[in-house]
Amino acid sequence: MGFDNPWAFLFIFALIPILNAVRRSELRTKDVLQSLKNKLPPRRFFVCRYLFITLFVSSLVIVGSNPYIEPNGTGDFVFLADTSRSMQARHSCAEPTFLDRSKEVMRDVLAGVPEGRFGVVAFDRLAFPITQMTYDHTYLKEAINNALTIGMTFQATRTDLANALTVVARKKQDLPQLYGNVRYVILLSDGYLDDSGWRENLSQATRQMQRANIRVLVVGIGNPTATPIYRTGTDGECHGDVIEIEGEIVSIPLRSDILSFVASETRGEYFEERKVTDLIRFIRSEGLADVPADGVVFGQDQRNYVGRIFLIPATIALLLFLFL
Amino acid sequence: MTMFTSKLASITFASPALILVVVPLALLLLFQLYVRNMDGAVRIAGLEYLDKRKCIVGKWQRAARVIIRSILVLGLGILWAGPEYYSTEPLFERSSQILSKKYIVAFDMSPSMNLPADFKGYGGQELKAGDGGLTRYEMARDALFDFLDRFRGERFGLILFSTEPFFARWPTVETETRFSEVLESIRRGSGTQLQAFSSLTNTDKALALARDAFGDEDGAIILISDAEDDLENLGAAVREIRNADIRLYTIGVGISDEIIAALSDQFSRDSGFRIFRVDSKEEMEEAYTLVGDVEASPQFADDKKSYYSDLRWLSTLALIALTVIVVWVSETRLHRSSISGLYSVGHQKKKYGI
Repeated sequence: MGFDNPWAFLFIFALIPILNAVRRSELRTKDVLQSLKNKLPPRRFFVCRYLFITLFVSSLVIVGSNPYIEPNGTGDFVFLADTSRSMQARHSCAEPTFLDRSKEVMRDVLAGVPEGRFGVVAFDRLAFPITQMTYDHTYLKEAINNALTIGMTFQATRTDLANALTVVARKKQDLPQLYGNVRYVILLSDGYLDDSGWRENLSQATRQMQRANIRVLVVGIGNPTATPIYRTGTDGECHGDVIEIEGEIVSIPLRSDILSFVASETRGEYFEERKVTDLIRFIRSEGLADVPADGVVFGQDQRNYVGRIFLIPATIALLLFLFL
Repeated sequence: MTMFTSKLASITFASPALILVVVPLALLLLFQLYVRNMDGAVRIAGLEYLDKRKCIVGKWQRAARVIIRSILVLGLGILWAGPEYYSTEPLFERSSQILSKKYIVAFDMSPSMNLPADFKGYGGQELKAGDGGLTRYEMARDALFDFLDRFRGERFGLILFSTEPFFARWPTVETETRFSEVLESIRRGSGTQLQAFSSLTNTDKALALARDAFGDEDGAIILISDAEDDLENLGAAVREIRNADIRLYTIGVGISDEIIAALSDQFSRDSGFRIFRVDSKEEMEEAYTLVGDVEASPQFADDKKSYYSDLRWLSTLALIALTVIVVWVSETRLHRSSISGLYSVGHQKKKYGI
């Protein structure tokens, strides 16, 4: 537990005049009752008054020092989110797209690992970080909701997963002050590469990931059956017709073979979309390390202020003090 | 710690309903004020007679004792309710900025931005990394760094555009790293992704993307480009931005005087639109300085800033100080054994009404 205002503990000295006043009150009570030949209250009556007022003031001092709790573990993670055209697949306009579903996974991971520092890299043909590495999960959720869209870059129909992995590995090597602590990348993709030489391309990229000491935790986004892509207007509204090429419906299968390959080649893990809790459990058990000795500047999302809890003993103590 | 430097904006409560926690305490005080028959009292003959004739001065002391003790109850209720303070200036060092101005910088990534800063016109594709000194892009980027430092604490977003625009950084207040994850890796001839990314210049689409990111908020867009989009399209895009009350600063690297003249004429009466032509590093810095001066002017400086300060801890410390006074007065000056307080002290079993 930490305190925003440790100096507020000096207010505990306010107990000196307060207890002095209660002591005077006790003496005067005894004096009056003895003078009037009345029975004195038992000793515990006065002891309780001292205890209750002490508890009241002490609790207030703790509230005033603004106590907070911060996590004792943390870790750096990068979401590698596929935003290629295939991520627009869904079985009907009423269903969320693959991208919507991958956003849901990201939000769940953020909620499940509040002590983690995350960054988001979007990829299709190219790969770009769309957020910095940050503890500000509120900001990350805003960015995930608003800045991740299908077809972010020109010719987004192509998915270059190998390039995306290489970009992340290079970022870690070139910008160690920003990405130096990233040991896990959380890849969210349908794995639809449309690339017959994927094994060779990906092998090169995964080797780079290994050299950068990065493991890829893959979440396969997709359905057991191939899923069509519905046309959308410029306003993002889903139209009722599916995309066809040369009379054939474009259907997106979940390429768990490709995704599992990436996971195994980088000593990572493959998770099904519906088993996000397993991913969170894995991150919490394997991905978090103790906060370094020189500390971490957590954000407001990690700092939990607990001062209000101490108002409970303060209230009870005041109630009893007023009663006696 | 800087305290009480702000003008009063508003004080609210995080959980006003929780003030009800102190209702039992308030009832207890009322009970002490009005209920006359209580367990235990000192019996003094003739006291009832004196009381009925309002001859007991201490009755007012009893009321005063209840009133002064009610300060503690009220103070505790305020703490439960969680007082908060919203202001346009930070009240404390730790006050959190909850609303800040939003800037979106739209960077042209077309190949011509990789030409030397003093290069006139287009072409020059044969230039390699390190050729020709500072590029147009580097010139604009370095000036942006100074701008970021000047407006630390504001939200900055970054759009990169050529054929298509995209958000390279959703608006954030964390600008300490100066978007180095994106901007530092772009060098002429370095074979970076952005070289593959860039081809044409789609300024109006970049402006539309920026406008969408503002939602209902206002703020400013800084457009940095060396290309001349279709004047009609550009004019329409600028009008749409201005209709949304978003300020637009266009920094044109080597763009033609005709474009500047045409747009300046169209928006001559609009203080929210400025266009600058820059041909050198010095002019680029000057353009940013001018934009900064406009944004720092009273007209735009503070209108969108808002700070939140939690006042619970401060109220708590104030309540501790009040407790000293209340306890001292109620336990010594308004002691229960004064005439009014006699009813509550003793522990005799019989009931005696005053």
